[in-house]
Amino acid sequence: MLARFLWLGLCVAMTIATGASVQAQGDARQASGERLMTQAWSAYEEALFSDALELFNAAQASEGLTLEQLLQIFEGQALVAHATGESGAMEQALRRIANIDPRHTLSDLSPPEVSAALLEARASAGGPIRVQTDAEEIPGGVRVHAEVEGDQMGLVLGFRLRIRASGETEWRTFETQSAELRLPELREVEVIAEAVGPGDAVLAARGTESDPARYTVGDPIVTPDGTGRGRRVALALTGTAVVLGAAAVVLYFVLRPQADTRPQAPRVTGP
Amino acid sequence: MSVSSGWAAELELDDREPVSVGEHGERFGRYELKYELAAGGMGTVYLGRSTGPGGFDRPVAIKRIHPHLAHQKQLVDMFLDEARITGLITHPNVCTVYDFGEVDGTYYIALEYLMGESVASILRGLKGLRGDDEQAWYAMAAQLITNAAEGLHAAHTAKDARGRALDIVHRDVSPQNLLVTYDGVLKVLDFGVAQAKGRLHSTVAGSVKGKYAYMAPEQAAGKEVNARSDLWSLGVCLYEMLTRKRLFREKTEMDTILAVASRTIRSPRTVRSSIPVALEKIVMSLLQRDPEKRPKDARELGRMLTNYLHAQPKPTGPAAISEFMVKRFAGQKQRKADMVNTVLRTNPQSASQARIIPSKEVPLDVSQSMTQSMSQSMTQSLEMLREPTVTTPSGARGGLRAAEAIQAAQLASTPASSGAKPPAVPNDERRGAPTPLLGVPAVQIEAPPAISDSLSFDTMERKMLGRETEEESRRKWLWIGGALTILVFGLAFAFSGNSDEPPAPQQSAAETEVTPTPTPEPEVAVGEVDFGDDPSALESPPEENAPPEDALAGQEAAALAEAEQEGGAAQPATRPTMRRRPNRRPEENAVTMEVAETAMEEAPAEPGRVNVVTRGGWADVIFQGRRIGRTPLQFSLPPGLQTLELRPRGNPEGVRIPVQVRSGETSRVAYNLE
Repeated sequence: MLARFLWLGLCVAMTIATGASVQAQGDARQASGERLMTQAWSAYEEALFSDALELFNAAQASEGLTLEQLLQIFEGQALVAHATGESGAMEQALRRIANIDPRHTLSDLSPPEVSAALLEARASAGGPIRVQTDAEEIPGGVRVHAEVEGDQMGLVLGFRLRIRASGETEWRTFETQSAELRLPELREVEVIAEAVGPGDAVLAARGTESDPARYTVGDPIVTPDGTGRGRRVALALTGTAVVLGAAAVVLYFVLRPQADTRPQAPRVTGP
Repeated sequence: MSVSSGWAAELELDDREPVSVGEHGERFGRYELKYELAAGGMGTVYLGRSTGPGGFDRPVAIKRIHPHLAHQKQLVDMFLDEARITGLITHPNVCTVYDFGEVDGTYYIALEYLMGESVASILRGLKGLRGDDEQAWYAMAAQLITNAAEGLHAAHTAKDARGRALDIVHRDVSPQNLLVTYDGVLKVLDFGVAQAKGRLHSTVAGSVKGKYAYMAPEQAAGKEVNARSDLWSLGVCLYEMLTRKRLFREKTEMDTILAVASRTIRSPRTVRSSIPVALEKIVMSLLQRDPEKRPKDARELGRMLTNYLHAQPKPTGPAAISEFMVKRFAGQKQRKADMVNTVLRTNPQSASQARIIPSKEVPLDVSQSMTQSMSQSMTQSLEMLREPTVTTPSGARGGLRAAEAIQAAQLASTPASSGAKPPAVPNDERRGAPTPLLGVPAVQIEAPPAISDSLSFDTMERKMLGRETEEESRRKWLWIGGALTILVFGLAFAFSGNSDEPPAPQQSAAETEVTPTPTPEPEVAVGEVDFGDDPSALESPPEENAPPEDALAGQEAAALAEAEQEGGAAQPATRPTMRRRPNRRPEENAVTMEVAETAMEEAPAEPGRVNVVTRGGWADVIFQGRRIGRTPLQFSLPPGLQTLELRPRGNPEGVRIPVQVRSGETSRVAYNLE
């Protein structure tokens, strides 16, 4: 009996430890990206251009960056490239910025020629990057698929799909472009789709936790943009119209004045 | 970032005729030195002869490092590298090294003596080409660059005895280093700054070797270079051969670097519309700033050009080029031939006529790898060679020093008595200095500050002959004639209009400027300055949106004069009394300038790199009154304490920041604007 308790306790402890470890690893990755970026800017401010560039590149390759941090890294790369006269590298970094956020403005560190180059980059960078989702009903559930548009610079490295049934509190997370959710009596699913880029930064998303994309199971084509509702309304109206029409027909035939079929009294004529 | 050019280019030359070493020449090891072609801070170049059994006799060019510099490892290593690298390349389009060795502490390289003209020299004489001649020249340019590509390909693909690639990159391909023989074959010269595995003289990252105007962007930026960097340089050469205009000619080194790095390159046909489209495409494929976009190797370039040549109605080969060369440079060819004949005609020198300096040759062992083992063995060899124990006929241990031998030869000779061309002038008279203890170094130490030259063979021979091309000669006499005419009319006008006035006092030099007399410079007429050796006197680089050359045909002379004035080489007509001396552009001669500054005693100092950052915003960076960019910024400056001015966000009020720039190192400036 005691052994059972000990075993159970051990399992619980391992589970907690594993969870904590995963969490810690995630935090470490995030901290790593931030730390590298901070170190890169420190090197830049000390005019150590080659060191700064290496650190910016390392930060870009790390994880846990926010979109804003990624944009700062690209700006850092552009500045170092400007300093060393590598116009091609500078333009590439600026096109990445413009591709992610065409309205992004550079910091005060950037001289006018770099800002001007960003304006030029906007013209050729396309963007912004957008994520589109669609869903289809499959036996026992729904399959959600994400697509990216406007990724002119090839920045999207992967997708992250979060799906849950309406009413659930926990999201199921998939690091894939497509995902399926099968649940008994699934009526509606909520979806958040993210396009993930360098540094694990989310470059674009479809839906948010407070306003996810929703799909109702049972519709022939479900889309999260309200067209399903319109179709339902249309169907309801059509059905109502059909019912009303049928009723009208019935009433017509029921209530219409019919020919007198009773025997007629002999007509008496003359006095 | 530093700049240096080939060993040869580091020599300082003065304006003088080649000098006969003496009636019987100087015996130098197995060679007999006949003419001193050039001398400078690092060494001397001679025209000599090599004789052997059975009447073997041929002219050779001998590059000899100064004995007093033999202890400077960097210079000696560069010298050894040049010999080794060139010795490993066996190709008809590369100047051959016959041997390399040491004579009583003096290192030397014996090279094939080439009878011909550099591409720079050829371009100088190409004014006024039109019609069929122009089209023929385009084909010849293609053929010549095909030769250069083949020669460079041989260098790029050279392997050691074990089959390991040496990864040789010339790094200094320019019109001065491409020589066209009178036989119509182009030869690549001067591997003095070439990069190769196992170089004794190590090249630190960020150092730049070569001429900025011809070096590839990645090379100018101090990044790694490869064979494709030479292709860029060939592209610049071909561009200039086709357009007959300099591509990157800026007033300062920094501007040249910037132009190479980022200036839009006009297509050749916008400069000269007669250039064939196919050649234009080839040129532009070479002038890609991304090395990956250039042809994959020199052989591919050769194929592209050969395809073009095969599509031409008339074949263009060595025979056609030879005819062209002989026609254009008949005078030079004859004079050079006469000189070589003079060298070979004299009887081989005997020991009784001059002291013989026995030599220790370092064999050009092509089987030896250019790797670490070679480096070590060479270093050991050098150590050995620095301790010569040669016995001269006089019995003096250590032999006779080269300079003493020169003195001895001079004493034994009768100047100009041999009838050799050009006339002999004693060294001490020519240099205007007493005969130094070591003879030769006198000219190195004096180091004329404003005059320096690249010691390519073209330069050697030009200096040696002291003569201009026929085209130049014509132009010079036209100028003289024109000037005399104007002078006569001017005098006539002056005397006719002011006969009643008292005679004007003799004009001072300053007054001469106010009322100029356009007397041409008697020594160097407009348009005579060598294409490569005095780039400041060249035509302006093609400007953006400028009309094609054809449209400017009638203005060519005016444009030339204007260009010369821009460059500062053309003497303004208002200073007829000043001698015009060729100036070298700084970007093509940084090391030479540095050598001059250090009185020839130290190894050439490389510039230092400066990184500038301003925290809290950008700032203009001003150096010597000129804005050189905006922060963040990286650039190179001469070594020493320099002062930069930072003007925050373009504000006219700036702050001055002293920077200690160290040769070959990176200095950093980080300034808080807030």
